[in-house]
Amino acid sequence: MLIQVENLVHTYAPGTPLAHTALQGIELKFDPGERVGILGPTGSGKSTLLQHLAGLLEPTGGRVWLDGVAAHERTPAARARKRQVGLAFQYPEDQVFEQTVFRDVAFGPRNLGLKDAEVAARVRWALEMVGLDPAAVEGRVPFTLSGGEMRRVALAGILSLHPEVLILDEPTAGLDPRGRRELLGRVLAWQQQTHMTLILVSHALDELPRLVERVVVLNKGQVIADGPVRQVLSDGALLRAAGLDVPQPVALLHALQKAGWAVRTDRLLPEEAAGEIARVWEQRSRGTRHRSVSKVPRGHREPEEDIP
Amino acid sequence: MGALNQVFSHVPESGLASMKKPFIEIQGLEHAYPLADGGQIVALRGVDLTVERGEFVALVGSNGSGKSTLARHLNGLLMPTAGRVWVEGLLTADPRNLWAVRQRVGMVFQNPDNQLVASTVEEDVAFGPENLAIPPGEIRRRVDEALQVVGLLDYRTHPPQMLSGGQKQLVAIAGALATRPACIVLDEPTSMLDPPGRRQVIETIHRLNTQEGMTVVLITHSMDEATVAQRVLVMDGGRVAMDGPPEHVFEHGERLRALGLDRPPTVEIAHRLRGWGVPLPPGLLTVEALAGALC
Amino acid sequence: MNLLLPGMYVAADSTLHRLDPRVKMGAALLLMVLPFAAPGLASTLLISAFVAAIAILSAAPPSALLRTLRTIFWLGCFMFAFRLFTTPGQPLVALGEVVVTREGLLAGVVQVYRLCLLVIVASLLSFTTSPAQLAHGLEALLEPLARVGLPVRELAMVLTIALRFVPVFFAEIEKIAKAQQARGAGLHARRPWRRLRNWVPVFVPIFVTAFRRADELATAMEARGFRGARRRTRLIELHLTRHDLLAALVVLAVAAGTWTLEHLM
Repeated sequence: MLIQVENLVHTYAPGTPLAHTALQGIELKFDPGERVGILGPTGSGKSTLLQHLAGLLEPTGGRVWLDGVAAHERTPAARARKRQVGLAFQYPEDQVFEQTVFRDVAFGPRNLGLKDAEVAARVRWALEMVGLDPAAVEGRVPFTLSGGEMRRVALAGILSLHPEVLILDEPTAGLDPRGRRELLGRVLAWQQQTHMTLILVSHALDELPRLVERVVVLNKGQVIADGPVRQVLSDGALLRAAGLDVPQPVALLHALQKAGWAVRTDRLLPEEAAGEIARVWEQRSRGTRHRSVSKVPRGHREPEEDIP
Repeated sequence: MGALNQVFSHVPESGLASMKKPFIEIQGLEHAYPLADGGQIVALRGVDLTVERGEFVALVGSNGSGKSTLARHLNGLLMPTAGRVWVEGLLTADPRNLWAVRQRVGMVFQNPDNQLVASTVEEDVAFGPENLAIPPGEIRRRVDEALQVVGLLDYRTHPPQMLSGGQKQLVAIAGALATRPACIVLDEPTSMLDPPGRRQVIETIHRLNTQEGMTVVLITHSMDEATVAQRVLVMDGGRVAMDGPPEHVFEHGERLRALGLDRPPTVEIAHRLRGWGVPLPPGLLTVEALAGALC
Repeated sequence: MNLLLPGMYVAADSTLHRLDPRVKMGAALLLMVLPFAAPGLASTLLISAFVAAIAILSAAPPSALLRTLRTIFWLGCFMFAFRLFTTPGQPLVALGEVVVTREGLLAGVVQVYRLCLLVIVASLLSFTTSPAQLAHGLEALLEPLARVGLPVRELAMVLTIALRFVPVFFAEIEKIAKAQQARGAGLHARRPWRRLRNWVPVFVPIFVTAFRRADELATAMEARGFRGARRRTRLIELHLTRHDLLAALVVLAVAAGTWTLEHLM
């Protein structure tokens, strides 16, 4: 599915003293199968944008086109497109409501009007995708599961829609490092298996380079950056101006650059940054005739693509 | 801070004697949660620990390591299944000491909303002193003082819903400070906050420790936050697996990973560089420190 | 989404805002009952003038006040129609069995007018008194009952906490509703029964998280030394000032005035 956001404007409570324009003319395009990260401080309009992409809000101005159909309309064509967009809010475990895991995960497919056999197949597939054993968990009451398991059930409930576009709002919020790593590994696996478009909102800058190819930065309702992940996340000035954290490797490389080191600053991951620093350190120490005891591996790989 | 509290008379020791003993002492602490089907989950399997006055301790571990359970023993919210916990010489298991213990150890929880009871900031901060039946004039003084310390005095009459997550947690901290505790325990206070909120909270508790001499116990699973502490305790399976200054604990990258924890990217980079022969001193925890050492 | 309970409190610093909530609640009660207890024309005029004066003192915009009358539109119509068709007197129009009289017309209008006065007085109370203040006032008024053993303080605490969480619940309902809509829940269904059923996926999670909230909140309260509502002091204590006593006297004077007018005319 091709998503086009055309001059999107959204104002909450228009015409009242509490009016607030959350989106001020957003222009974006999402190609099928893309993996995009969305960054922005609180209040930048991220959740408003996500809700528009899922067709949950009506634009005050502009349009969101899902495969050429306006998302906010109430026509069968629009509804059919909207069903292809799966949106997971923050803390998705909060939305679990059914008496059994099976029924909760089946909620989406049932609303699509699918037959029982198809629904059951999808539920089973979705549960496996989130790492739960369908046989063990289908009949259980969701509220008796752990928080992490409930989150997986909620995500399964969205995967069972077989969406062409998967939008995740801070999927790792509140998880410990192990939980984060595991969930993101799965998300990547889902995308690789189904080739769905992945739109990921996350504050976790160490996660993004491993998952997305492109990053869009929002601030105060406008897009202030849209480009390859390495390019955007190494722009320290831009990130700081938007009130966002700069990834530590990037901050370090910038500091060294300022001190005269000839380092590339787009090495976002610790291992890459370390390699880059070691390379330049070795050059500099050779340059000053300092006998280096360097164990830096010669010709170590310069990553040009994403790290899987 | 640390004014003698006349309301409670169960303090077994006072003055100089209690100053020399550790503030918190834990011996052989075990805790098992009973399950509905009669079984139990063992959350703590024998913890021995002391915390001195004025220390800033980070308690880290992945989910299920027992860190939150341990935190709740520090103010008597939980009672040991075995072993003993003393706060300033008071045994927490003794019901007569309960309120004295809670006055000495303030606690801030993870969910910013689920700690605020009142419709305005100042009334919420007043909740603790109100429970101690402190006269209104004195409550007013303490509320203003606590809000001043966290920097929210101008938000006195704001309702909670007008505050950001970070600000709500600062109100919760002020609320804990209003009872003038000697120690404040924070159970994952930043895990539901955005980066600016997290920074606000960590900076505030760091300041409380360095400027006001408050004993701080910070439970977190972010090693980045743990960097700020003087001492890091790593929990695993209900036991203390590691205990030392951050730089020492961070040495053991493999072990930390196995325990489900990450090292801050800067520490990771420093470690790799050392491994490749770049001469770097130990203890480089921040970007500034590492950059400085390299140049 | 409006942030406070019935959404009518506006923070400001008017004369009315500064009065003690107990005085305002008592006065409001009196002024709401008075038009019905003293139905004469002179009395009604006196009360109307007084309400207008209070409205001016409250700094509430007249348009906002009048807008609150929308809430009783249907009730007002019903009362008007009732009086219109059932009051005996000089007939004006006859629609078959039902007769509309001149007295009926007048009675209908007057009844609706009294109803409007009632709503405006209630609105003035809400505009100038925050829900928290109302809770404080209520607690203070019912304080004597606490000495007889009724759990007044506990109920007041329950009320305060409930008020504090109303906006939180509204926000959560909105979030869950959107989440379920994104899964295809038909929350905008036409038929009322269907709509009710379709909202179950919103209300069940809200209930469940409400219990969890309550649990966490109770733990936090315990950690802060709460052990029951007895023996607690309060940061904010209500004290009656000269202005409050003056206001009370004025209201009583107006009440006495209407009583006099009523029984002398």
